[in-house]
Amino acid sequence: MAEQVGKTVAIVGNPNSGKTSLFNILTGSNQKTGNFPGVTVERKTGILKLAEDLRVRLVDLPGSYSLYPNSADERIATEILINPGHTDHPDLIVYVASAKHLDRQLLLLSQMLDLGFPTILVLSMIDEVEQEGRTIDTAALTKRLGIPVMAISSRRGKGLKQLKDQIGISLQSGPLQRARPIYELHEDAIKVLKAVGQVEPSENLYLRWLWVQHFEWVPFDTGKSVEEWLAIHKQFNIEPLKEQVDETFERLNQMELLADAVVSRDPASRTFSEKIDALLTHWFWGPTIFAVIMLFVFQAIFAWATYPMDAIESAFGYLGSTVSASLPEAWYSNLITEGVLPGLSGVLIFIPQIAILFFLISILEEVGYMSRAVYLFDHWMQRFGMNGRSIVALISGGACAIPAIMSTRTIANWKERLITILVTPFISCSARIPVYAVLIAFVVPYERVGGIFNTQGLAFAGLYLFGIVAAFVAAYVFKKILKGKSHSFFVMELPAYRMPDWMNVWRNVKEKVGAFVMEAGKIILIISMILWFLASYGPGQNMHLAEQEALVEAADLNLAADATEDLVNAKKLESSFAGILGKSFEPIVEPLGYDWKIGIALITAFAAREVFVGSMATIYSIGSEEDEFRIREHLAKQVDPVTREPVFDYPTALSLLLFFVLAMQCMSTLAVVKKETNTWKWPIIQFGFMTVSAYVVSLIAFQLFS
Amino acid sequence: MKLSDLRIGTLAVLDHFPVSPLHRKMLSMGMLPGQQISVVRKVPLRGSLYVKVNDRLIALRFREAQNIMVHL
Repeated sequence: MAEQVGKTVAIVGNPNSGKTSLFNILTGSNQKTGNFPGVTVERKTGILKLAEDLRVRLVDLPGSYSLYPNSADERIATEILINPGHTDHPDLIVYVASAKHLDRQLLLLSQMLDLGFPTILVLSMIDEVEQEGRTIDTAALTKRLGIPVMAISSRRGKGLKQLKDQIGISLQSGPLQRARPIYELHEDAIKVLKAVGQVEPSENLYLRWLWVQHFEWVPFDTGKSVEEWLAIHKQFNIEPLKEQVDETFERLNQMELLADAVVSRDPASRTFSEKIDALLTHWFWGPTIFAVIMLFVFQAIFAWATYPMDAIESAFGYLGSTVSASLPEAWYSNLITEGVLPGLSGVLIFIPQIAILFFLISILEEVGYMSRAVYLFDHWMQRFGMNGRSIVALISGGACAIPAIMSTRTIANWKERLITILVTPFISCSARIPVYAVLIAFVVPYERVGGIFNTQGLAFAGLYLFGIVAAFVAAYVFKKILKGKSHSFFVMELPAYRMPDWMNVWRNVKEKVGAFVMEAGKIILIISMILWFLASYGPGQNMHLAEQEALVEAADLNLAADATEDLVNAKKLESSFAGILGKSFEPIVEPLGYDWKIGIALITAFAAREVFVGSMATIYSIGSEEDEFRIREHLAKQVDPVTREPVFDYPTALSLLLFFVLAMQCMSTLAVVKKETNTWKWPIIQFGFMTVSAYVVSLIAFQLFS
Repeated sequence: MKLSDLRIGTLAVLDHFPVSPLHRKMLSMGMLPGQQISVVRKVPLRGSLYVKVNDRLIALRFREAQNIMVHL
């Protein structure tokens, strides 16, 4: 079978036009998602099979309103369309417009036609228009525009076969021939083009005109410096912004006449969406309903994810014991059972939460609800240097900062997005819960308050609240110190409410989970192998001596086999590199009220917070099989060898709790921040300010209360 | 008058906006002078506005609405 992937077809259209649904259904599983080089704008490409021996490359260009871009997304689309040398520059355009609002989506189409692209106009969601009893005269459109027009419904698969056939035919027929452009360049523009270079009659004048206007970032060498361009602009008195506004006006006038002629109008009435919005965007009920929805999302993440998470944990437990039973006693067996497998399980354990979170968030996006939430909260979030969309990230952070940070891609303004990324890890994520659960009892004794509450539950809520306050304070500080254009503008369409396209939801979940496993997963795995090494090896004969010592001590004390093993493990950890590191850390953590044992646990917790409880259990030779309650009981019995005072008194536990609220102890989050910001600078800054603030706050708390 | 001063539910006509990227963006979304515009809802305390232009539902910031002129 001959592979013919030489030709490129681009899907172009406004945001919310049904572009992505069409792309998904045309390519099926034959698609790849990545980023355009250097920016976090998603690049979706796929293979479209037209016939047994005819395949073309399909590119889903970011949704745009015009070739005069206002966001990073639109700019990428423009760059590709005006640069014939770009790898994604199309041979054919499939222009998708929602049949429901055809009249407002013709601006970009008119620009495509003037660029001379062979184009097929696809009217999506045709069934919804027909249900409303309206019609669109596709034959008249074809006649007026001079291009094929097809109506399809991606959800029902209607019209897809004809579209594929048409793509095949249009690819054969060469460039578009139109008698005259929709927007005629004025005389001054033509003079400029002549001044810039020789204009051959065969050349596309509009393309040249776009180069002149976008000279600052035309993605190839124009042969002129910025100064030369500015001089030309000055000489001919060109103000690009004014030119663009005038052109847009002219195009809209032309296209509106067209739309009036072919679309039968629906009677002006309050739409279904507006009726729902009366409640969902109400100044009081809107935020209330939002809170309830988010509470549900949160609840769902915790309630539903428990089962798969438990299953993953026990599967890895089983795998670990099977592997260690079948492999010989050697360093590589230990590496697998204590380094690689826990690392893998540390990656996979997050998948259920990430999948559920993105499942629910995608549904809210697809339905059209998210843009309402953005409308409601934008103004509050702006005071803290963020954007309405940041609220989604902050709430997601309550489950796990990793998907939360990944969800900030929808924030167009860089500064607002960066601040959101930097402060999201302050929100208490699910990995902090086990630590809170063990330590809270040392700080507040259990008492009932007002019948339904108890003191420990309230303290729990207090820790969450403290994290939220920390996030907003940090955001405010960053707003003041970071440079950058924060006065972005925000004109956003509120799309009509509609049923989610399940295919889009599924693809989104798959993509996010895949990105997490591939990107964060690598780092978690490496770190857990390093930790394994640090905890299993010590300098010289250290480990061996420690084992002997522990065995002697156990024999003296007449310990049972289990207790002996626990003691041996504790002594070995103490003499390992990790133990030495912990002891050398003691002077640093002592002012916070921690001894070197807590120091070791803290070091291991920098890979992932939940590791802390397990490390504490090992260090205090409790045995890792015990539950939280037993661990807590055990810790309460620990006394300082010199002063005989309990190690876990009120000030130490409080200081530790506050440390866990604020400190950046998650390698995976740092890895994702690196990926999303494309530099190590921001994860390093984030690690620094979070850990310093944790240290200072814990220090103050300990010194005040001890 | 400014769009930001328009009362909820009152129908007005889009008059003009200053030549700016905001203007270009609004045009490209199909908001043209001469079209009817109404404020559907507002977030209190100079929060975002929810407007309806030419059957299209659009959210914009208070600061932006201050730059858009309308007449009754």
